[in-house]
Amino acid sequence: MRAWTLTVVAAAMILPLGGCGPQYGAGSAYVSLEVATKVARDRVYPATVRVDARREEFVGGKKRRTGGNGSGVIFDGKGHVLTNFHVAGRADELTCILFNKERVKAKLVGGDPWTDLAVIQLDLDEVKEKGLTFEHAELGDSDTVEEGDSVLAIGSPFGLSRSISSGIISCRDRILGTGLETPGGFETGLFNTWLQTDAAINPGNSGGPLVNYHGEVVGINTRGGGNDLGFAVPINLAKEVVRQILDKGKVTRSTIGLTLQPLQDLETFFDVGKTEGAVVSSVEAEGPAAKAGVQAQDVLLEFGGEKVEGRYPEQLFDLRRRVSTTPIGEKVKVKLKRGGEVRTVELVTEELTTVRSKEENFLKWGLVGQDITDRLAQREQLPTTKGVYVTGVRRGEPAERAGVKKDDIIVRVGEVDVAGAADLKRVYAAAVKKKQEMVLLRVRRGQGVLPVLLRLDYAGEKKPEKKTPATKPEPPKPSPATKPEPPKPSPATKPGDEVK
Amino acid sequence: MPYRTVTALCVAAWLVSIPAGSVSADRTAEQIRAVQKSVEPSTVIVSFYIERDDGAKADVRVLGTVVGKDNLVMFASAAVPPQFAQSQFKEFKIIVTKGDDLAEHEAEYLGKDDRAQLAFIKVTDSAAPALPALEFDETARVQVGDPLISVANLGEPDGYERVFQMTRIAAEIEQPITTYICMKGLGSPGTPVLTLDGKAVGVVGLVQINRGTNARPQMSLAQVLWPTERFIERIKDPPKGGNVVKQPWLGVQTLTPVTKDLAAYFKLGDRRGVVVGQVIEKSAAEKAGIKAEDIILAVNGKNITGTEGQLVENFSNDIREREVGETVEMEIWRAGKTQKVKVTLAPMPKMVAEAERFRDETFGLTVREMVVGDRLSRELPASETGVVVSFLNPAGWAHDGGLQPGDIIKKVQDQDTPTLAAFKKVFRAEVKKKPKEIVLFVLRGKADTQLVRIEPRW
Repeated sequence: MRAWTLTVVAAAMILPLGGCGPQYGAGSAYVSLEVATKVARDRVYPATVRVDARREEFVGGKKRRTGGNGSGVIFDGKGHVLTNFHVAGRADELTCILFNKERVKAKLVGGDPWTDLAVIQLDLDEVKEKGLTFEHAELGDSDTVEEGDSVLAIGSPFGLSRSISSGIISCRDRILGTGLETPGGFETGLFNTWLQTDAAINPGNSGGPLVNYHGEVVGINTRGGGNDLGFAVPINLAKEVVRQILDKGKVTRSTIGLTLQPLQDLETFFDVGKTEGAVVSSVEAEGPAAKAGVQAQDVLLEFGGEKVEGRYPEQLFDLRRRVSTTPIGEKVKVKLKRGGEVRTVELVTEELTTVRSKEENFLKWGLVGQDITDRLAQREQLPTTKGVYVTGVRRGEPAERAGVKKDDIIVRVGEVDVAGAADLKRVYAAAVKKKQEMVLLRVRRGQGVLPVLLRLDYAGEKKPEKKTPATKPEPPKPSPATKPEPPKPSPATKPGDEVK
Repeated sequence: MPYRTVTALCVAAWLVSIPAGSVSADRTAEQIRAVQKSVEPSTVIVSFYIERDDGAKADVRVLGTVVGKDNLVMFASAAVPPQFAQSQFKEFKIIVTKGDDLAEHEAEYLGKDDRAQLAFIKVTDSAAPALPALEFDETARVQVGDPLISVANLGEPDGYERVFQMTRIAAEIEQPITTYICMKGLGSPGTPVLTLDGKAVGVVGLVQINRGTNARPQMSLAQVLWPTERFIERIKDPPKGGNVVKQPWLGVQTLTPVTKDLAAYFKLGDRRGVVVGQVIEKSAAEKAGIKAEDIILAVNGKNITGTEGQLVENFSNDIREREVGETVEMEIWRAGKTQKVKVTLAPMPKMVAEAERFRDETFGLTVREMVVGDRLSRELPASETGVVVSFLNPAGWAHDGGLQPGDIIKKVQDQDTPTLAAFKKVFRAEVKKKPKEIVLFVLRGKADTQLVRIEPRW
């Protein structure tokens, strides 16, 4: 173990110098811990940055400049920085504050909401121009991490750059349930378990490295729950995400359109071995699995010729990851057990979408909407992906006054069917050009379709929306310890970065 | 001359400007006392309890009014809330004052009528005295400013002493049905309201009032004078056998008003109506060929009218006031053309309160049959079947297995349970085997299915 040796050597070197302080016996845990901390610090601390991000987004149907700050870690000589998606993934303006207190602009390379990770790159021209230097950290192996391992969390809690906190790995494969979202409403956490640590992780630590005592990054600090509960994305998953982002600027995943349930205690009911398979709990309508005839209550025994082990919920993440990394559009053989019968079906993977897609602003109507992705249709149980999903309405503007609500789906304008946001954009542009004073929208709400008539006034043409300045990062305000509540891990970003 | 009058005259001699009202105030007091004397013998306390699924009993005591011979008593239907099955209302009694004491007499629950907002019981105890019925007046007209007397009661420690409060009519709400908002001092729902000369003009009712706009409604529940005409027919023909009086049902949902702007857009001129958002599968409307996006303009030749905020309520009320089985002609606007369709109003489908239930004490589980409302509120297709978990005992077997209230059980040990009868049969047969586990296949939310494993602790 290279790093361990290094620690011992370092300790041996430093010990003789300990004369001025209290004397500790050679090999004392205290000394080696201190030395190890310093080794870890020296290898990653200089590669950690504070990330200031600014972006444009719609809040209550209104375009706003917002921003916040988080942390990041430089992982190669080209100035690539690994951080959280919820810190930088949707930013259009990025600045990094380096270890040596210098500021450098950065640009977004790509982000992945599913793992809440993003890669940004320092502006190398600016680095060169200013004559700056930076170091980069080594990404370790999170599979070798064990409970009890000492770790450091480095980052900028509450914007306080260059902060280190220490702790241990409290659990190496924590599952945080389903239904996790990043700020901005992206589903996340479906493909990873978390490294849980008691090293302090506060808002602003997001995107910063979790470092082992060998000075390697083993996780990306992402969520904090207070009460010494912090959660980091394991670095091995991050490495795969980084590879894809550097390769093609994004991460693509496959889906087979089914939900799994652990086998635990159901093996007798299904008459299978204890570690044989995972249970299909539901099948998405018209998804790949449904098309191949997979049914809820089937037991998934093999996926692509490989055995499936899904006895515990923790194992399902692995399986989901395996499914997600299968190329999109690939034919995969799946072995199922249904009743007493074992059958093999072939299904074709499809691309996994996110519930969110690009928001379009329909300024004159006072509403913001987006395409209905497969994932959104699935989550909301919509009969079709046709239509425009209203993500916000501005108070006092025509849409809101006529009764359009957030989460409504615009299916038709006048007599024209609307397939998606691009369609609506065209109809909208034509209506605005013609200065149409009445526009009839048909919106789907629940299972009903309602007519909504927009009354538009072109007399006092309004100026385009003003850019509002982004909120300033607040000075650190460490909040008092709150009463012990069951932890509800939330993304560890600075306040002010919250997206409603 | 009574002492009081002498005093009043003396004071009058001192203060020439004394208002004449001070004399009529005494007259009011006499009127209230007269009402007290005539109404009090017709009021009783209706007593029963609601047996919750876990066996807990919640006592209910409300003021009832004797309205017919053989001690027919009515009270507010709000006291028998819809989330409970009719069979969960137990041990109906009336409590009457007997000298200095209270006497209880057994009664039978007859049922309720949500349209009239009233429920009915009949005293079955043959030892009960024949109580005088309060006659409700169908002809009296009231208007803003009129004084009214409302009857309420104190609690058990005070012998349920009746309370007589005075109020005045503050506003008349004409649409969708005529009711009256009163100043402070109305009693609880279902209690009688009388004029100063002792005419019973109605009971206290509850109506939804929208204080906002159509686009941004602000609904609130208001206590009103619920005039005699709203319920007099029901007194003459009370429900029987503990049933809910069936209301007529068209089967359209998500109705929106044809506003002035929409009328202009569709070139409807002065005509108004309601736009149908959804036609419920297998409903009267669907059978008559009504489709989503149709505009209903008139019912039996009578145009739907009212302010924009009233159109939908007026239309719904028009239907609600009709009889089950009645055929009405509706004028419908569809894609620029008007047409007439005949609809035969069906009875309202079963509500949660009427759904049959099945309880298994050992598993701590109550399930009920699925009703149309379940499919609508959860946006499920009409083809969805199963039984709904309505109650779980805390820390009971079913609860510990991970079953949740609202789950729709579709299979028990891999056998379909589309109806309550099927569920009962399968569940009972499986339980008899005293198995180590019972695996249920359930629908949770809109589309998530899951397996739930219950481990009995025999």
